[in-house]
Amino acid sequence: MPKRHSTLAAASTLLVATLAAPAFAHTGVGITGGLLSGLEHPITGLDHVIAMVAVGLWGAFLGRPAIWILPVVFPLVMAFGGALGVLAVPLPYVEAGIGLSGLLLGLAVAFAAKPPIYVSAIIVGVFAIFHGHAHGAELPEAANPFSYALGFVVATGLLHIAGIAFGYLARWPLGKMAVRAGGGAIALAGLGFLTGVL
Amino acid sequence: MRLWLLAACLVALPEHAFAHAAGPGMEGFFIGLWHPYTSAAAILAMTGWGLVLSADYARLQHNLLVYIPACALGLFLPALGMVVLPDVPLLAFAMLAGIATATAYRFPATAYRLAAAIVGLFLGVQSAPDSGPLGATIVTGLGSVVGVSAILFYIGGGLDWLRTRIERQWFPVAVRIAGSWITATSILLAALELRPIR
Repeated sequence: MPKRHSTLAAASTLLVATLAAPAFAHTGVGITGGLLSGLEHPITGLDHVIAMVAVGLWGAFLGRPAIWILPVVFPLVMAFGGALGVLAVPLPYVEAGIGLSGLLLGLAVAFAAKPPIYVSAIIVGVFAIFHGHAHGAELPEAANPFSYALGFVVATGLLHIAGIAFGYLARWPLGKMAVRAGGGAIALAGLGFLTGVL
Repeated sequence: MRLWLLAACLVALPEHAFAHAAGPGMEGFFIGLWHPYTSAAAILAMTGWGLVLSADYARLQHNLLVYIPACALGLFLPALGMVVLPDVPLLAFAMLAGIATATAYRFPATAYRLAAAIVGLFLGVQSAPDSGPLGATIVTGLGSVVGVSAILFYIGGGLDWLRTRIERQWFPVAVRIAGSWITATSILLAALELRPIR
């Protein structure tokens, strides 16, 4: 390595070294506690996870503009459902709606359903209300509300992105089969939650 | 290799830097600077507004000429005896700004000026300094004005700059999704603000 590059590398490293601070690894309280609680809430329920991944999967399968419309619609409507849950507005058959979301969205991917964009947005929106209501009703009293809400929304978005990433495999023939098989697995899991088997 | 090991050891050594402000009374400026960032509603409103400006920063940045004076005016309203609770209006603004970003809708110029005035006014109210010596109050208020403006330059101008550098299809999609997250978080926080105390 030329001498000036090694000098620059050493100087940069020393500069970075002066920027470091001690790590206080308490995560259970305050802003970090709320953020972590919010981040983990959507991913601790498999019924939520499969539906949110299925939204990303279906969006990737449908292509543009669904690939971004569905991950935009879901958190928006989910937050509305969350608001209903926070305000203790009763919503019937929440758990059934969540189970049904996994089943129907999984089937949509498994059968490569390609309805008009507004139809897919409406389907996703309807199910988002049930998911949001469940999250909102379970909001812990002690959490920092801002960081909890932010963590919960971000975690949902990241699950969609995971589904989209998997859904990109559909551009190849084998990948398409894998994606549709994944949709089938999601549908089976959704059926399990709906019937109480899972 | 030994240089890198030395740098890695140095990373563990730094301590907090307790920085005293350079001049007397400047602590108030920094208190004012950070004050807007202590409110979740203000953070969401400023971030949402920054995202809106980033859509066409070159054309929309002149709205800051309305925004900054509106903020300065808002700082004085509580001192005049006007009681305004800014959190819910700020959350409502953040919701609308997020939706505008998610839909990439372009409003008439008058709408942006009106939005700048409204959000600036409420952010000013939210950041109003406590009563005290006039000089200190002015310095703190000045810090607040800088605080609510700086984030717009970073978000609005920064995203606009990135847009010219990152010529990828996912970049505008990511901005839309960020807008939807702002709206979703704002909806949840508004519900928490409005829920009856249990």
